[in-house]
Amino acid sequence: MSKQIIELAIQGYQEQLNNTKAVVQKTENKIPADKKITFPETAYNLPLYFAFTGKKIHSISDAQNLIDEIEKKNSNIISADIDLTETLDLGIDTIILQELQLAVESSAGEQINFIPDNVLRSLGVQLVSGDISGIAVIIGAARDEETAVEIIRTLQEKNILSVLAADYEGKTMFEQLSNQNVEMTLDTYIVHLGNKTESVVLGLNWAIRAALTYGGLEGGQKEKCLKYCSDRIPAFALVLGGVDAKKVATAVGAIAMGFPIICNFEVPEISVKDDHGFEQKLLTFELNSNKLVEKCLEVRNIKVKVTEVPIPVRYSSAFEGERVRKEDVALEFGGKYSKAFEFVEMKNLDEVENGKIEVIGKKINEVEESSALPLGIVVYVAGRKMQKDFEPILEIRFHNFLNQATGIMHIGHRSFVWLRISKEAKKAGFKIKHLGTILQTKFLDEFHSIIDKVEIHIYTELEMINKFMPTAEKLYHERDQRMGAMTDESVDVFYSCTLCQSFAPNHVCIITPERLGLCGAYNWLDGKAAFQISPTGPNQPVEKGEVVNAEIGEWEGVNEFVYKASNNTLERFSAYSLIKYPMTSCGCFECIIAILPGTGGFMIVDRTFLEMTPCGMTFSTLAGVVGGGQQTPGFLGIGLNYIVSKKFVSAEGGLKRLVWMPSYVKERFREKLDKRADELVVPGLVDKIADETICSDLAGLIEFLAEKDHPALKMGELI
Amino acid sequence: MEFEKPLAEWKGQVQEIKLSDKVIIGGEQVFPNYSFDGKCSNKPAVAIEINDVFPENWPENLKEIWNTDTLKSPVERAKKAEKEFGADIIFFDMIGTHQDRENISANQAAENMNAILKAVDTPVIVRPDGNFEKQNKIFAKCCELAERQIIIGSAKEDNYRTITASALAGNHFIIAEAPIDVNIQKQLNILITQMNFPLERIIMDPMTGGLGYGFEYTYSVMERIRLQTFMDDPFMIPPMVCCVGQETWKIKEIKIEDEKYGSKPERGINWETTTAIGLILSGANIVVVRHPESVIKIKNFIDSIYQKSDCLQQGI
Repeated sequence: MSKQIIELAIQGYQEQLNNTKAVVQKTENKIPADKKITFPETAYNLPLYFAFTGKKIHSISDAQNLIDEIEKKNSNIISADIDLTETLDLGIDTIILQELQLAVESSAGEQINFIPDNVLRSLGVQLVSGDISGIAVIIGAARDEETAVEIIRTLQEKNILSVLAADYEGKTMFEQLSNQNVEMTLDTYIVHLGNKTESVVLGLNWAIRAALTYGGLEGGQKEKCLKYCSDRIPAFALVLGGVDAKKVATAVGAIAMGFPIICNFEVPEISVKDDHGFEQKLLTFELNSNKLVEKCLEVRNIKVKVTEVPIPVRYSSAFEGERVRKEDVALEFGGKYSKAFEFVEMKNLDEVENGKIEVIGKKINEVEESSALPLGIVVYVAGRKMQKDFEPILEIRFHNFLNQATGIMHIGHRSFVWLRISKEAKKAGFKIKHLGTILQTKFLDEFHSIIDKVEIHIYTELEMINKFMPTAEKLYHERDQRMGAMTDESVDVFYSCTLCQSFAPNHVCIITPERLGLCGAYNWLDGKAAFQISPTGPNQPVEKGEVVNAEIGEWEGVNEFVYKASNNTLERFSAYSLIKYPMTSCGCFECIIAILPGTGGFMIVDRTFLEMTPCGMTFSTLAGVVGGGQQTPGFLGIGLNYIVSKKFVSAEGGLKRLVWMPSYVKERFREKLDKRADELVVPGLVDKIADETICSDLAGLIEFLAEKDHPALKMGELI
Repeated sequence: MEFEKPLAEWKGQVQEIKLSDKVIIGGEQVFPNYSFDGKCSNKPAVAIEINDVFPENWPENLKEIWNTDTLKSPVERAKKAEKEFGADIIFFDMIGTHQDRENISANQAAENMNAILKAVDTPVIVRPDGNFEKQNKIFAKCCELAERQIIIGSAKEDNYRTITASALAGNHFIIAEAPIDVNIQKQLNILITQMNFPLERIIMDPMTGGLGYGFEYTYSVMERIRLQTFMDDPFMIPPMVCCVGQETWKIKEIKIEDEKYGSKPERGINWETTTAIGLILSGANIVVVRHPESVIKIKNFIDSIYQKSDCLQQGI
């Protein structure tokens, strides 16, 4: 902490001490001996003092004792030679003295704008429920009246409660707003606390009562109360104009409660690392008054809830499957008509301007009806918990988000995009910019736990697109490389999926980089992102722990997790074996693997294949054998893409044991299967695998395998 | 060879909740009536449902037994439910608050609630109806103004914050309702407790259908929940409440004129009773019903299976 601030804080504390002393002495005779010292309409007496100590002030002599106590405690502090913790303690003492002073004044009949308990409750419920997204304690006055209005309107738009306190050089925010006829009531989320610096404490002792009321905490649990304020009360102080010693000491008190300070003038910044290792600013500044509120939100990590997408057409998942026909097209992009791409890139928090949507190039009204334009949608995101790995997960959601608007059709992804805007949507006022509005709103809404900021650039100019596309292509490629290069050995953590436990109570999927979930819908990255987004949800990280058996893919940590998650039923689990402790299945598998005695191999059948298979069972009969969360050696439910993984049943020899599969699955994966066959040094393997056009019975299959000299025949029986 | 009785060993236990001096629920360490495995603990409680407005869509025979005049007065209904029909708990379902019905205001709803709280000595479950915005207003008012501790419902996955904050401030119980889904139920319990709300003040509503209308799905979900409780899942310990009456009295078999279904009033009672008993057997700690005859039958059933005093002790 800067020496300058510490010196000011000490000086401010001294001033406050003298001030409170003077007030108590002056008021002593005005308050009858039997009159209690307290704020009106509260059960918490002097809330800050009560929360920190569990004690109450009953009389003027209690007040005197408290002052003596604080003065004695701090009598040694005279130099700037104290550390951060000691300075924060001094801040706390300052606000306790301020609270005491106001309580004494209030008891002596002075008008103090204390926030009574019933208001605390009605605002508190809104705060805890998230209807109020934050609290701004505004200290001082804006540069001029217009700026004051501008700041307050922006705060109101974000559902932030503003509490106004203290003056700056005789001016107050309250006056400035009054002069501009701004309505100041609880309903408009503006509360005026007073013109003195001490009045700031009325905001702070409201916050601390929230900890007592909603945190289930009791007076005296100082550390817990402070932690509650810091973790759960999204308050910050906005200091306008400048500071004196007393304001600094007060601000230090607010910092001690976990409320950061943002100034509109230059100050030495202070920051600490929070529990997650992120840098948390305690004191900072923003000189541009247009960016002041945004800065506050960023520093306090406040996310404003916007659930309605503000566009001129209706928006709901019900419209997702809707097509826009050729004759209804007002404007289209991509497909076979023009170049189009979209991509998401993660940036640092200070590199992204939240809320910015920029369209460069022609607008919807500048082109003829039914024509085509090139399109590039570039989305920059930033967030404390955002990770590079989440980019593709966000990008894939373009499709789903854009399609939910009526009159918008979106197909494809990356550089294979086709987007149509209907005539009706255009008539309703839909602009190209609104594509950005949709993405902006939905990303912040659905991914609020990982994304703090979204900035969007939309290009409809070929020149710009040609400039950006190579960057995008490079990024897609890098991503694929990264995901492709990811192996089970390269990570320490897998992800679980227990989404299906509602009907298969003991089933748990373990998703690894090289084995996706058996439903085919969740890969390792999805699991990772899902955990960040919903930390209490069904996708949890699973520490691999010590290797038990590398060949079959068995780890201590995974075993422990599976045992617990399967309700103490499955003691061992393997990721790569069909025979030894195979993974269980819920019933959602894309396809089933079943051993075929007499061939040395196994078959695969997917859920769209309805006919008989060489094992003598159809898919649906097999499904009955495999599902339900039980380990059935020789049978396995898997996701289709697992077939081409290097870890595909690798414990038993993998692809070399595959003897039969539906022809269309073979064709769909042919290229990748051929590549895998080459890697296994069995060229031509794919043509040795039978399908339904060759046989659907075991005898016929064995004959075919012998004829083709399939490697499985020589590998010995699986069981 | 001597027979050795196999004993299932469970670690977990359902949270015991004292709703009033007379009504204590939960506390069991074994599946319902598995007294051979361990302690069964408190008997399930029977709640009677009353409303803030006249229940137009009730079948005639149900209206008759209550008496139409009584049905018009929520307070009279509550008194009758407690004193004459023997309700352990009053379930005050405020259907009149729905914005498309009488649209009763939050202040009025709180007043109606306090009239009930004054009229009866039993614990009272309070549940408003309407969209989330309307419900949230009522949660806040009722929790603030309630003259004694209430059980407020229902917190849902998509709308749990206001009710939790209100119940926290007012020191009330919460009903956490999940759509017949173990995962969502657990997640909801976690979300509520993450707001610093004590797990000891949550009652779960796993939702149910009437017998023949999805009842069996609830049955197995409740079994699943209890399995997790006894396997010591710390978030699955709250007791469960099941709203039986509303699910059974609306089904077609109770309304149609058909000789072969037997007498109409009896049909309703039997349907309600059978569903309630089924749910008690899968772990319900409170069943909410409408017909006084059902209350008698369900209580007889409970008494009969809990008659051996040692059933309440450790093992038989």
